[in-house]
Amino acid sequence: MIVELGHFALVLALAVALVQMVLPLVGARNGDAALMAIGRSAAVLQLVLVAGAFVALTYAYVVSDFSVLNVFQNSHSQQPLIYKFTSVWGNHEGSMLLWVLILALFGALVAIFSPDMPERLRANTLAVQASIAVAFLLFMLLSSNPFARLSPAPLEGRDLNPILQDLGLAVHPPLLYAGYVGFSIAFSFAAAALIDGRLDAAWARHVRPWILLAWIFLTLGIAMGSYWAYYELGWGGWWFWDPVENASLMPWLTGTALLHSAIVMEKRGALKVWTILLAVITFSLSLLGTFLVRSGVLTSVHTFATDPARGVFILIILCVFIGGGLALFAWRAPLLAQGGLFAPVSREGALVFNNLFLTAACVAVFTGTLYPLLLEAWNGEKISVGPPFFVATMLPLTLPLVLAIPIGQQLAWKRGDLLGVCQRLLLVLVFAILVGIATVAMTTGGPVMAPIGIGIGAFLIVGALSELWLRASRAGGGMGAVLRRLFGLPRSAWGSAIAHAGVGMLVIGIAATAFEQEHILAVSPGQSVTVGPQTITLDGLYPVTGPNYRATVARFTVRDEAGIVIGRLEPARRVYNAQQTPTNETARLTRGFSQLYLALGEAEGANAIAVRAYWKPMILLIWLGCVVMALGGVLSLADKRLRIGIPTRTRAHKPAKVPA
Amino acid sequence: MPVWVPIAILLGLSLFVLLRALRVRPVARETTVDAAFYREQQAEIDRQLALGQIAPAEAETARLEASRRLLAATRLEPRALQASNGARRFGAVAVLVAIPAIALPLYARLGSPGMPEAPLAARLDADPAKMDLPTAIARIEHHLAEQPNDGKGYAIIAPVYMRIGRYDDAARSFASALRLLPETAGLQADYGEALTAEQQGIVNADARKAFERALVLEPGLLKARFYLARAAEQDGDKPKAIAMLEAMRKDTRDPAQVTRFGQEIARLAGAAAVPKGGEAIAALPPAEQQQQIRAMVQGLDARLTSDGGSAQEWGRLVRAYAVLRETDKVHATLQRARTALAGDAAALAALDTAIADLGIADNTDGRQP
Repeated sequence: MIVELGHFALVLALAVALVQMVLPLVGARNGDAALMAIGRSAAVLQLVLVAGAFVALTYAYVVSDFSVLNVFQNSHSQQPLIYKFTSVWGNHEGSMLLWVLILALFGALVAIFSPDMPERLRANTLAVQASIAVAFLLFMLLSSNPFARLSPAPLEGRDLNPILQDLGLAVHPPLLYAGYVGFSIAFSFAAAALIDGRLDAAWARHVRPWILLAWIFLTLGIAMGSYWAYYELGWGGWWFWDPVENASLMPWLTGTALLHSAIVMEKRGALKVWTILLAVITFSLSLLGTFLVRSGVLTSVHTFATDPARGVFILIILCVFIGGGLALFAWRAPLLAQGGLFAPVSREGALVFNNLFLTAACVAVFTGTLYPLLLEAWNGEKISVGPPFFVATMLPLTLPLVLAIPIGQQLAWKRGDLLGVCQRLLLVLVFAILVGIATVAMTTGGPVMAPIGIGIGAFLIVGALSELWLRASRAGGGMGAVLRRLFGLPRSAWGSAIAHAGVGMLVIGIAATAFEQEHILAVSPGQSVTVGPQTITLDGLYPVTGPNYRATVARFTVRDEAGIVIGRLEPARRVYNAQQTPTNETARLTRGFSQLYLALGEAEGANAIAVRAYWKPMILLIWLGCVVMALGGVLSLADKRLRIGIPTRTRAHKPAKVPA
Repeated sequence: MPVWVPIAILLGLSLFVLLRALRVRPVARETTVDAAFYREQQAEIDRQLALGQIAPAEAETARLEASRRLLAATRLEPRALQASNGARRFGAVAVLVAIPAIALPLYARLGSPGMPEAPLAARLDADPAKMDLPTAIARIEHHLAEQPNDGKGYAIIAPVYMRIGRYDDAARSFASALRLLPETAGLQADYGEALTAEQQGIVNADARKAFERALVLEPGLLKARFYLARAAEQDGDKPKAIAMLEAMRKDTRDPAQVTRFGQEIARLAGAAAVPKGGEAIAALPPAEQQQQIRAMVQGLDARLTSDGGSAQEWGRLVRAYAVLRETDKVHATLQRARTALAGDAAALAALDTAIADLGIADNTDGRQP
């Protein structure tokens, strides 16, 4: 009953989304408040219904109801409870349900937390958001129904792909989807503004928190996916330029540009065309990512069952929304009055530079990802565009960009003083060069770019923080007055400084990978190996039985330079009972920001085992940098100007901030 | 309670929520929040100036900019908003007609309103007397997953696995039983038999060890001796095998066994033909039954493929593969049967009836579990 009710709730959600798509649009056209009000109720109702369907499917997973085909195909009764929950979205149908759930969540949030938004803008936004929901609900119900039943019910399920039986599945997909789908709101806002023909600074103010929210989730989602791949796949890599990874990087690049454009639009009324186009393109790239992953064009751990019919369906959705968005833009483009003027050397100019380079980087990734696919579709020729292509194109595109960050942050709005900014940054530059030289002095080997990269990272971090200091100390006064002003700076100023410092951490982490060490060897019990600054000793190999797998565990003792035991590591190889596929459980020891990383290979003879041992200096900075970036986003979101208002009747207007 | 009751309630509540929204009071005109926003911006400039975060000159420029925007925003015509009864009626009719008209037929087409749920725990807790064999097996398996040290459980389920042809599981269960229970000759011999069956009748080193151990525990155990004779035969030592079987024939008084050993000896001597037919197969030890059955199934498959056959024959072939646990072939054969019988609705129905109790789902993708 619960399962069938969930199925009905999903069908009902489609009907409600259709109403939400049509009535508010008609209302906005005729200025009718009643029809527009339907949009808000329908958006909340749609969330309740989709959430109900999601709960029903989760229930079927938890009680191992194998009369539901989806549960039978992707779950096993002896899985630990946490994986029964995560199995819900560890497959195609369930992950689409999560997709639609997050879509409905964003729609409902806009409906609830936007008390002071113009009615027409809200009605149109909710209608466009509902049209996306209609497309994906239809897709689910007609080609990927998670509630399909099976009779008679089998007694045991086929289990979840062993690689996915990990806590990463609880974290990475929901975060990434919240990011992907979150940009749907930016798209809906853009389309709504074009439909209504009103596009101004106030619009940017309404849309910016949603862009920021989506960007935070996408940043965290990509970072967590990267960390998961790093420890699960056993190769110690953190980014493979795999098409699926690129599919998430592309909307991140344009989404970052969108975030910055919206700031300019909010504060200066400029960059309207950029903002609208980036909103359309970012969501289109999110859809493209969904298409690449779900159509069977690519094969990867994300693909699940492939079905060409699904690919065609998503391709149609993709064309309708990209085409629709661009057509709307073409229709209304004459209305996009030019906003505030600015000189090339100014904060606005710097942000245009930022948009150009981020978009160019996105084009490079797009080419490297899609060209091989198109070529193969065209004449069947298989070519591989590997990391060398991406490194060769991304490096010249991102290097000027990151170097410009501290400069752009210091430039004034409208017209800036480049020479003055460079003078102010001179000390920071000297410090960064010293860091680079110190790196050369302390390390041996490694490419010449590595110390330069670490110097650039230091330049970014110190440059970002120095901007805050300079802003606080400009008016002079004693130390106390400066500190008071420093902490009195708007949270968005702190947010952007911290986010840019996060970029610096990321750059250092990437540069430091040049110093990593890798050893692949066969080890017998009692044998010791030196990896980086520590020594590992194999104590022995032990069999272990888990709830739904058997494993061989190797126990290692780790000693530091002085021979003192600093930890034990237990990498393992697991074989899951249902699918009989071996997976690698790596073990890692963290020292500061660096990690010692062990992965087991095949047994070598009777009493030895192959081990891949890595020493990865500063590797954690890669993901910590992303987390710090997201933290900067959260701070910025918490700023008064951006805070989402709670609907109360006697709400006093909060003072808004203005460009300094 | 039939599922239609909560469905009707959910539908009713949804319609109520949407219709209630139509009761919104008419608003005179669209809120002028944009202007308010620009006024706030102006106020903020003064605040920042007071805090010393911006210089007076900068404040002046910013104020100018903000007032320019405020002017632009207030110049925009505030558009009127109404909530006419006509629009309300249109909205109400649209909601009341569209939502049930879409949701109900679509669910009726996609859903399975009559199908009960089947949570695994409830199925395994059902009355064991009414349980079918697969459910009973699953129940014991779950018990063993929770209490992996229950040797008796393994000893109970292992022969069941043997009977339904899951030889690898049988061998693993016998091994577990041997690890956890006091060792007996019978268990060792059964373990060896399971290993042999798993290897399609080949007595490998592990199986041989088990049979030898069984004979240490109970010298003269016929099953162990029979398979060791088979091992000798597979080693190419036919005289030794025949001698062992002769000795066994002497040791037993069971006429069926005497006949069987006699046939074996005759076969080894190359005199008698291998007996055909179901009874003869039933008399064979399990590992050989398996070989014989496979040969027969292959024969049937080849005949149906080349000459075609009736719905019942196709059904028999599908069933045979299901019994042999060859999931791939089950689905492939079913597909072939459907193709071969296409156009004959009666035959297709007969095929469905013939395999109805096998629990084969056509819509699975045929992936091996």
